[in-house]
Amino acid sequence: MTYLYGGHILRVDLSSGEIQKEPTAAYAADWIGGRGLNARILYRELKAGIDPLSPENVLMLSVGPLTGTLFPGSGRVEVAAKSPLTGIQGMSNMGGYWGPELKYAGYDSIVIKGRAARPVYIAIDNDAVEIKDATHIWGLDTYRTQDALQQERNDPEVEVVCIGPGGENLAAYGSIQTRMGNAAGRTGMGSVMGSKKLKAIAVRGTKGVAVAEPERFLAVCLDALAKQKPLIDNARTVDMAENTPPSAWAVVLGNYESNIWEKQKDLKGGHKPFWEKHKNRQGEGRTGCFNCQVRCMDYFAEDALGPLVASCNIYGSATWVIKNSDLTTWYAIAAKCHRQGLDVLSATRMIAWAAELYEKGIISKADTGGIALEWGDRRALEKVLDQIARNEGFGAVLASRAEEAAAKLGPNVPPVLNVKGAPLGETNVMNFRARALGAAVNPRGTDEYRARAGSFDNLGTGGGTGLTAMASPESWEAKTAMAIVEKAVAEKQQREGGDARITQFDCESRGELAALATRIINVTDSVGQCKWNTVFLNVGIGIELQARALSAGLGREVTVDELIHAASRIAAQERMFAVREGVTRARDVLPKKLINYQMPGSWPQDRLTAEDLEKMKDDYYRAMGWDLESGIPTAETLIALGLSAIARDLRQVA
Amino acid sequence: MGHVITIDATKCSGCQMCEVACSLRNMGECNPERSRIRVVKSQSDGQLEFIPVTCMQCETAMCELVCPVSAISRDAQTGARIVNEKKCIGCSSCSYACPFGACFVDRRLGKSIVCSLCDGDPTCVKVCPSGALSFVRTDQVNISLKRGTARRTLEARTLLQTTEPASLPLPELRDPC
Repeated sequence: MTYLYGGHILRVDLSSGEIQKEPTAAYAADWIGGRGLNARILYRELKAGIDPLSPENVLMLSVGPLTGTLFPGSGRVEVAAKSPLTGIQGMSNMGGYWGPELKYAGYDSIVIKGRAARPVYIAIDNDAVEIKDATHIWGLDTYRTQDALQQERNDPEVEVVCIGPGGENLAAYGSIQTRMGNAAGRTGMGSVMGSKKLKAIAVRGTKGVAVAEPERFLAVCLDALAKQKPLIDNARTVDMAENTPPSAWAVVLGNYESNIWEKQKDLKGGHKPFWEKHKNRQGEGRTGCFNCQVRCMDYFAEDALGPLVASCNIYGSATWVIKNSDLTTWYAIAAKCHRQGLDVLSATRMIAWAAELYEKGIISKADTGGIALEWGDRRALEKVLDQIARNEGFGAVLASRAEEAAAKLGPNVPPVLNVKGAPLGETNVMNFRARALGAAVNPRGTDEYRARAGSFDNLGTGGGTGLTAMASPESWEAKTAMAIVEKAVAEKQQREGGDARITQFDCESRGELAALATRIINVTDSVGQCKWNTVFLNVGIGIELQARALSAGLGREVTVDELIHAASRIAAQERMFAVREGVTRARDVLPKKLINYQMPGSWPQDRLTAEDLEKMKDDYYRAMGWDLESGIPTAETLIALGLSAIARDLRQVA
Repeated sequence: MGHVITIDATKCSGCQMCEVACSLRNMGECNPERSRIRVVKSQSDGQLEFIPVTCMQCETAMCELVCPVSAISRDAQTGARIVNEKKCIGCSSCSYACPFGACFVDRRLGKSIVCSLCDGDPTCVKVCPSGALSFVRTDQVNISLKRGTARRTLEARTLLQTTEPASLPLPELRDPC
């Protein structure tokens, strides 16, 4: 009996139609599951230098040992493949209900290779796995696709992940969608799925997850739920999504134009009143993923536009980023991206880029195919989004990778704000030093999210720091973070005198904090839990609770050290994938515009120099055990993590 | 006096935590399929519906009446129907007889399963984050509906008081238990 695991990795080759199953046990000890599993298998089975949209790419959807259990926020799936946007390992994490269903069917991961001759979908019913024709649903939007497959499988309990026209037509940032608002949006995973002519994966599982010590596991989960309960408002969307204008420090206007926006007042008190007015009858306007009490998503039912589930990052991207102050327009854009299967964050960032070019006269109607791309113009926005999803007309430009899109518009057109080729999201990566660093070193590029210190972003000892905002001061994460800061303060005081402090604007200790964040995020993504349930966002669950749950579930003691060690291994593995594709220290950069840049309305200390960024990178690489000069994990680090075979590859690269 | 689980389906946001908790507590694994409470879901063009379904603790219980081996009886303490596993033959008579589809034969155990109210402290109610499930005294089952009616009446009266509408205090109407 494999406790907590589904037990098998499902391998589907769409070119040959071959379906194989392999025990998960070979990977579980070293790679935990989810993101760890993805990192390992992709590195091993994907050749360097391949075209991400070719049959050689490998697409993985994996769940972790806690997925599908009573542990809070256990509905997650980690998706990975070589990204068409960045050319390194793409990765995106999605919630919903599909992951638990996959686990209940007996699988921890699906590894998809090859390319089908015609559109297909994969149908899983416990042990029975089939590749079935999907010609009749190719072209359907993501809501309709799920309905159609539930009908076709004759079971409303079937859970579906699918792509929409965006992924089918190979827009660079097509998303994989499930339910309505749950998306593996970033890094173009839906387009990889589309390139394989794979429309959907429909799963039904009834086997459940076995637990070694049920009573102890139940007690740990109830304890975790109780600890978390007082903190859930910290992650609830309508309660936190810029509802009190103008305190919009978390988002930026347009292409990092400003922190202040006079039109914010037109949002009429933020999104909450809009939500109150258009709440869906089910769930009283609130919904969430499998086994989650945070329920961070807002559930709408606008008469003309149909239902919509919205999470917080959609709010900022479809308002501030594209300078749209009309919430009906916001709604229309969010719903369109969900239905068409497009990453809202990338799409809105690309549109913001084009709108600025249009405003400045760098491009004209001749380039946009006659569309007057005014900021916040609903008809223009909808038209452009439809074109992006079809990958045609001006949309084909915006559906390209950052550099390609710029090149298509002319030799001197600056590219969209991006990190490693993927458009930045909606959050302001410049307002804390730790975030800026996180964006530069994020293992997937795109934004700061996977190396972001989260609730430790502004941790320090001086005024205006987030010390008091730490909701779980007793957690291992908080204590470890605080120890890092205190050590750095002591060193600084020795250098500069007794009253020296560290604030969010200082570079000291940010590298170590980002390294800590990289590891704890890695653990959470690998065990199959939602980051929005953890101390990462001040929502209670920490690595100690994760270790306790794993111990009770697996029937062997799992320690925090063991998890952190595995996280370091996963981080090194992901980094080596990037290294193999040519990433070194020189590629860990921020968009040129953001260096030495004082955004209007931002704090004066927000200006970040290139030297400061490099200093923080030094600290980060040192804390990760990577070579300072190249940013490549050292042979010693790889060997210490049990990756000596990869250390040998490293010598070949050198 | 006993207690029963009441369901307010409009509040349910579909997380299935009740199912996972029930199966973990009572079957020793996380498996909605083996839970005594189920969230029936439907999805149509983006509109999701969730209706939790569980044992209604009937006064005249069809499951008990049809059982050919008299394996089902009422627990004196909690009022819940309990299945005597020694007697139960797993024939599904109770499954067919229950008007709510609340009991089922678990094929792994070969026995009929019905909500036991977790010995008087239902785990599903304990974990439900949306307030869709409550555990109420049997004589208070529809009290929240009555209070809803009362609240609307008071609100209407408030609206009619054009002089000082805001000052009319609404009495605190707390839910029972």
